[in-house]
Amino acid sequence: MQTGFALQISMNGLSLSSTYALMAIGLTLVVGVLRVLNFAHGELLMVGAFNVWVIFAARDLPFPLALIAAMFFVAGIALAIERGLFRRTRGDPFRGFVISLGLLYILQVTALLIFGPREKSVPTAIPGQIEMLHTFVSIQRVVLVPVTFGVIAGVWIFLERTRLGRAVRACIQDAEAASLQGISRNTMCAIVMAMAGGLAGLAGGIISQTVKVGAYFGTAVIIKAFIVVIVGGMGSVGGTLVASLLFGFLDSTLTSLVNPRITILVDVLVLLVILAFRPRGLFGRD
Amino acid sequence: MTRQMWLKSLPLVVLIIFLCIFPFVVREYFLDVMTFLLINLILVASYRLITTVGLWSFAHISLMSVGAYTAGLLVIRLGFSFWGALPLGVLAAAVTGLITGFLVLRTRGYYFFLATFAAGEAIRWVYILFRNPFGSYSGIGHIPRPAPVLGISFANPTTYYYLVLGFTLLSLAIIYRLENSRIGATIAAIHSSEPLSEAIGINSLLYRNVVFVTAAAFAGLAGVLFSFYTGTACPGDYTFFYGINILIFVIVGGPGRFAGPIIGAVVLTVVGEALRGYLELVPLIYGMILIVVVLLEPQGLVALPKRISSQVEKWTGRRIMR
Repeated sequence: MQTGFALQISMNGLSLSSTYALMAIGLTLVVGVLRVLNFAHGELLMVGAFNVWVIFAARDLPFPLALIAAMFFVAGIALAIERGLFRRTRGDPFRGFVISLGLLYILQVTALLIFGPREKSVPTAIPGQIEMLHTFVSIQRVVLVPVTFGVIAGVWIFLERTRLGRAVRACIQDAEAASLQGISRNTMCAIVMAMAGGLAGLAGGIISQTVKVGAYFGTAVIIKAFIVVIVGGMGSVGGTLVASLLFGFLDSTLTSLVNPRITILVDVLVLLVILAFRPRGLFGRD
Repeated sequence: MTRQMWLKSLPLVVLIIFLCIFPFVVREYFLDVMTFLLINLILVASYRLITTVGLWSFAHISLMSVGAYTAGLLVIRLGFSFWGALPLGVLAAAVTGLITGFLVLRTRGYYFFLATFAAGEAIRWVYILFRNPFGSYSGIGHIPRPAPVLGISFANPTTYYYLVLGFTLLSLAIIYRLENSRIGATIAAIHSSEPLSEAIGINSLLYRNVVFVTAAAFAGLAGVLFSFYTGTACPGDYTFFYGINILIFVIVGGPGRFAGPIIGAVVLTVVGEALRGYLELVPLIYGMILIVVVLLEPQGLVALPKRISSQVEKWTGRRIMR
């Protein structure tokens, strides 16, 4: 029984950590390279979730197809935002951040006008449960969690092992020095923004399995990503992963032992205490 | 006072006279709109104060709610009068600001923004989670209008409007004075170069704290006025979206000058009222206005007259504004 309970907590912890990381890595990469905090990142998740609803729930096409479509669709939107808006304000990234506040409203109202105010639920893609150590674990989770970690590992390998990834990291460290080395700032910004969009689309699609999809989907789920990003340190992918695991397991433990609704209070308290000692997060540089 | 000073303050005098006779010339609906606008003016002016030290907070509305809930609960549960509850509501918001500031004021930029966002959300969740005494989602209701003072009752919308008008003018005057005082000059010094100001012995962390707590107190005041006007305090009144609206007011108007956020709040409230039949479109229009302003005139609407006059000068070759 004890081991079953521990298994439950760790399965939930892994599942939460993987979605937090999926939401937060894109966000942190965009801050790192574009120097813009995209406050509308949650709305990109929402667009991804609606993609999955339209393709998988309404049209009854396969779930993986819906996820891939969501990735590409949201990546396209993110690319358009970079080209049309963030690129114009590159000299002053704060203006890019302000623009993202406006985007948040625009995307929300657009979704509201297209899909109406009623929230939609997406049916479970892979139904069924399996018994492990006297505990029931949904097959869905056994499949999706490794897939998510696989995607994150892919991002990690891209950043650490490829030339392009190294260029992205150079841009995060020092954009000016990077451009002196012949790394095109425009290309890097476009790549990172598209990646962030793709990850957001995928994350939104996966979260749509547990949270109802509506225009305010993004504002409901994004706060955890923000917490993870600042605790990890902006621009640090490694820090984001560590923070995702920290808060994923913290939330899972609190949910099982106390009350799922208390998680936000404890998370924010942990965040504030960490920031009081490390104002740039755990792995942020000065 | 010289004649020039009189001429300069004339628009302000006209504006105040207009606000004083306002209840007699409009329908009750617009009085309602104006009351909320005046409360918002306290919010945007105090918010601008935070931006003068280079910080952008997202906890302002949550700090406002602390004032609202505290004063409301004191009146309902403990039988306080409005006049006793008001300063305590303001104090509660200031203390909450102090605690939050103590934890997050060493952070900068986006860290500060997101940390205050998270702190503000946590405050909202406290109301939702603790039914006693905060009443969860439905909040607390039946907050009575203030008791009469010197035979003047504040129970009807018109007299309450004057009460709000008085507090708004007082708040704006205090914030304006603060900015043009020695403290304001020090804040400006910190904003223009923090290392330099620290080198001459200015404790910038202390000043950031003073500014954040002062702004929190004014947010609390706005919250008290808000809750005693609507008669309720609930989480739905102090949302994420209210916070974004305040930010949009400040940025569209232009945070660089005192009048900027006020102009922003007035213009966008008028825009919002013009779209009264299409309420769901208001955020869309606000978002578009925000983006257009940030792309075309980053200094905000307040910089527009100067921009236009300099354009006209360029075309005509004559100076029209000194």
